[in-house]
Amino acid sequence: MGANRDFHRQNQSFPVRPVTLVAFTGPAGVGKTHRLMDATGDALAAAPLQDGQRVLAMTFMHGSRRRLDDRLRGVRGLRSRYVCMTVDRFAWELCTRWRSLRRHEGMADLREDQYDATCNTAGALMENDEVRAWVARSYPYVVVDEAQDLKPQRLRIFRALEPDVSMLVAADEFQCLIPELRPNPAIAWLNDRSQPVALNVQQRTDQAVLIATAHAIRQGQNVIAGGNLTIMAAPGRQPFNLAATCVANAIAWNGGNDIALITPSKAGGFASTVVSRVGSGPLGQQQNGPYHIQWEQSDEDAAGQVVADLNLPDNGDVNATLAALGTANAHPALHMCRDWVLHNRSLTGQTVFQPALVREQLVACFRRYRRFARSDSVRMKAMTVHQAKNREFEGVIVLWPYTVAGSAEQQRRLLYNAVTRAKRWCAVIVQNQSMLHQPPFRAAGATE
Amino acid sequence: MQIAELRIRGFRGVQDARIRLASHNVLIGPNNCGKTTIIEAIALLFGRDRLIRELTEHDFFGSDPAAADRINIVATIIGFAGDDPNRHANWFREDRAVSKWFDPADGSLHAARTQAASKLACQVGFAARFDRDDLAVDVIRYFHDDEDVGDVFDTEVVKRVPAQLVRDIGFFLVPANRTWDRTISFGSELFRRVVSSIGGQPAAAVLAERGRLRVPEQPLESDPGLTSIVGNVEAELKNLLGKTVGLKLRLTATDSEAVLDAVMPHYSIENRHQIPARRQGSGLVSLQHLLLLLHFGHMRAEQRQSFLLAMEEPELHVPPSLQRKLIHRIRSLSTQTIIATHSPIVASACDPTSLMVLHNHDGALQASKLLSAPLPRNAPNWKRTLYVVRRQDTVTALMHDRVLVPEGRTDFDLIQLMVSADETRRVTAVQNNNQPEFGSLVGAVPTHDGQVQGVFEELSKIHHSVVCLIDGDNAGNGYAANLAALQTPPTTVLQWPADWHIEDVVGWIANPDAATVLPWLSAALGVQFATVAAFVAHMKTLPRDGGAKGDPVAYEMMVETLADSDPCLQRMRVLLHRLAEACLGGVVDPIGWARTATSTARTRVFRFVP
Repeated sequence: MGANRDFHRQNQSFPVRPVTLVAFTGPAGVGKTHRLMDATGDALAAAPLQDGQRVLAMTFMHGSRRRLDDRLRGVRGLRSRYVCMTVDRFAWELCTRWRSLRRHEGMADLREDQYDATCNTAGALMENDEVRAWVARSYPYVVVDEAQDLKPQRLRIFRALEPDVSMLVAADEFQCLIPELRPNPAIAWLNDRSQPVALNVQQRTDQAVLIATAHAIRQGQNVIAGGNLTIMAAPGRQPFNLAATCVANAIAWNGGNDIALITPSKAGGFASTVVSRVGSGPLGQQQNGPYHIQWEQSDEDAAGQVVADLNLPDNGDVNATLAALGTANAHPALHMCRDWVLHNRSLTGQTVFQPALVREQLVACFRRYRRFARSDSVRMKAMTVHQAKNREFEGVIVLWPYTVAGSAEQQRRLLYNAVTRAKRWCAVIVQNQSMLHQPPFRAAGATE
Repeated sequence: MQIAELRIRGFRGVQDARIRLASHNVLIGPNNCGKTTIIEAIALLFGRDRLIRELTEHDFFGSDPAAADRINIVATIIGFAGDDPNRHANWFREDRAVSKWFDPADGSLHAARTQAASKLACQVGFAARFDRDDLAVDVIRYFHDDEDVGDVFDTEVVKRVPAQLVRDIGFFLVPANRTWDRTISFGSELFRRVVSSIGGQPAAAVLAERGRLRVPEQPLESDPGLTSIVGNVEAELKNLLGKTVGLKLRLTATDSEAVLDAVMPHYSIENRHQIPARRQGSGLVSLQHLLLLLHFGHMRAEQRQSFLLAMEEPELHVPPSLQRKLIHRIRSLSTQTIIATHSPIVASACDPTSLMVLHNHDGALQASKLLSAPLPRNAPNWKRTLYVVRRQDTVTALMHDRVLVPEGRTDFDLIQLMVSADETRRVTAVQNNNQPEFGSLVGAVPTHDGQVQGVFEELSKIHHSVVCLIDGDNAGNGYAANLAALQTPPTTVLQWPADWHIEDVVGWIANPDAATVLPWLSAALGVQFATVAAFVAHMKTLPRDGGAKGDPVAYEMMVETLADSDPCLQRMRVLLHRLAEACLGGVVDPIGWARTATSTARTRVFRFVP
């Protein structure tokens, strides 16, 4: 009993498994992530994880990471033997663990905020046989979602790792919003190293018009309204009452429990003004509203107001600092920051905490909070196209201001990413009539 | 697997220490130098959690840890079969250790394999901090990636070492305190582990015993002496509770755990009566633990698992021949042994290249090997004497705080005898309060062939404080000059008065009571001495010429005889005291010695003033 098991466990070396690269491509809403999870389940059934091995799932943004985490929980046979993190976090940990090798190879030191350099260094480390084998021993399966967003430094990591593990990747070139990534290096790599499975059956929505519209935008054709897709112009000056009325009407008319207002650009204040107008009183003939639409904030924004309001002592006295952070209805990130202060006092004995450092730490706490917190269930949210990536909502309102920058191609992608978030209905509101006659709403070169 | 290097910081009496370990190690040194600390440091890393739970402020260097102070112990582990990380996936993977490469030639650790001889290594660390709010000690066992890991308690990217992996290393400790009378019983974790690894579990027998204990043939409560008490208790309970509550008296708590716990080993020597282990002589009691461990070690050796044994004072409770036997048996079964000892016999039972002399100076602990490489066949005789023939004496000397290197055997023999004579005649400890005692402070080495310089050079590599003692003649002056001219010369050189040898010093001892002692000496040695000078001459003459030079029996008689005279004993004590003071060193020149002209800036040469 005991003896033999000990012996085998001690001299554990993992069996060789066929390494593969499986890729799924296709437009938004065809179920790439779903197929990714299925394929992972299949792979696990064929060659299960050994003692101590896990699935490593990576994606670029924190929001996507949380959603991927939720999906992984449902993969059959996996249970909790997986780790889900952002590529940046993985790169940072890899670089930290292998610090002595980095020094040995003459690689430069890294700071935690140098994301691109860290990823590039991680790529270099991954090209080292021993490091790669070390990663592969723990993670025989690597899942990557939203691979189209991988800049070359991040792609380097996967390129190096791919031969030694079974990798499962999902990507859609058209959803990449980074102009520098055209042509898309990740897609090129996938085509080079595998036979990507192109999915095309729409899963997110069964609304024919929504499907057709998304297709049209993708192909660079004219966008035609109909059914649950409405497109309108709302010209006018501050406070953009017409636009606000359109928004309120769309909400009232379509209804739903899960609505997102998405804009490609907050510059110029069109979107913010409209949202606050919608929230301040009833609008239009039907007197619809007010509807409280809550902006999703970036870490800096979320932290910003709180940090500014914080009354930290100039002399950095620890007790006064703790008191300032410990207000009753404080945001959880404030509690985290307070814990950090307590923790550091306990670890190092310091009794002076410079306000600037505390504020910096508070921003970091907001970041960490958002990494792990479940998003609030708010009925109506406003966000940018970037924030909306890879998410879905029952209803979507797209606010399209003058100030959207970029080439026609870039604008098409922005519009595509926004419209394809909708499951049931979508209302597009542009800031003036003439915009409707140009890309992305019309094919280039078309006239009206 | 075995430990190649150990780094200790901030733990008990050790502020900073870095110790290379071989497969088999013996640690010697004066008391409180850190022998036990080293072993306990290894135990914190690889031993049972119970040891860790007992940490307090006193385990931190300085006994008053500030918030940022840490105990940090790091071990470099090598001995991974094949030196291939792929074959040791449970050690080298993402949630465990990062691979390193150890160069056995110079003990350096690299991030990548620099040469074919490099051995695969990983580093395991133990850290502790004292929480001044909770007044508790926080600990963590982690994989030590590199020296820049920062505060292990404050970093997110730290991987802990799982308990199973710690047990795979197979570290066992036999501490000095051996009072295990219940080692061979199920109350002992060691015994249970041994039993379970054999795959045994005497379940049937235990259950049968449990059954008998639950329903005994002659229950105690039925005993005539107890029935009335039991009956009364039952009646009272019935009154109070309104129900019938029966009182039964049983041995043990009548569950399997209690039965196993109560098992008490008995031994019968040569088939005589069985007597419980704890009543046996201390030798058998202390051996129990050790023998059980040896069995365990044997099993692990058979399964090619590693077995690391640390042992304090193997000489306890065991006669010398058995000590040697035990050491050799332990070594043959273990992947690695670390033995701390005060016994010169144990210390010399191993080869000199595995013997390490420890020295602790204000927290800086240094470990020096007695011999860094085995002696070549053409090594000079005096080296052979030092390291092989008289190794036990050399080792004994090195265990002291100061080492004295005299010119020859005679000085060594006579001084040792004087120390012995002094100590046996010590009535109370009132004499010599606060004054350094030669016997405890200084260890003398039996130099061969007058090789003072050679012995000094060898021993000063290992020991921090070596003092030379040379004769007062011209040859001695020559030695003194040579010593002072060395690159790392001795700080102190002692010399007998002009043209004096140790025998003349003995004469000086005899002088104050010459009239009384001369007849005694004559009687003891069977030679008539009219004067002290005659006696001294006799001592300097070889036996074949009718003298007593080099005759140990004669020496012992002489010294004992002289010590029987109070004035002579006083002189003897003065001599030893002055030697001790001189060896101790200090800013001020010691009393009873005069600085000679041969002294240099770095070496003080003192001549004895009779």
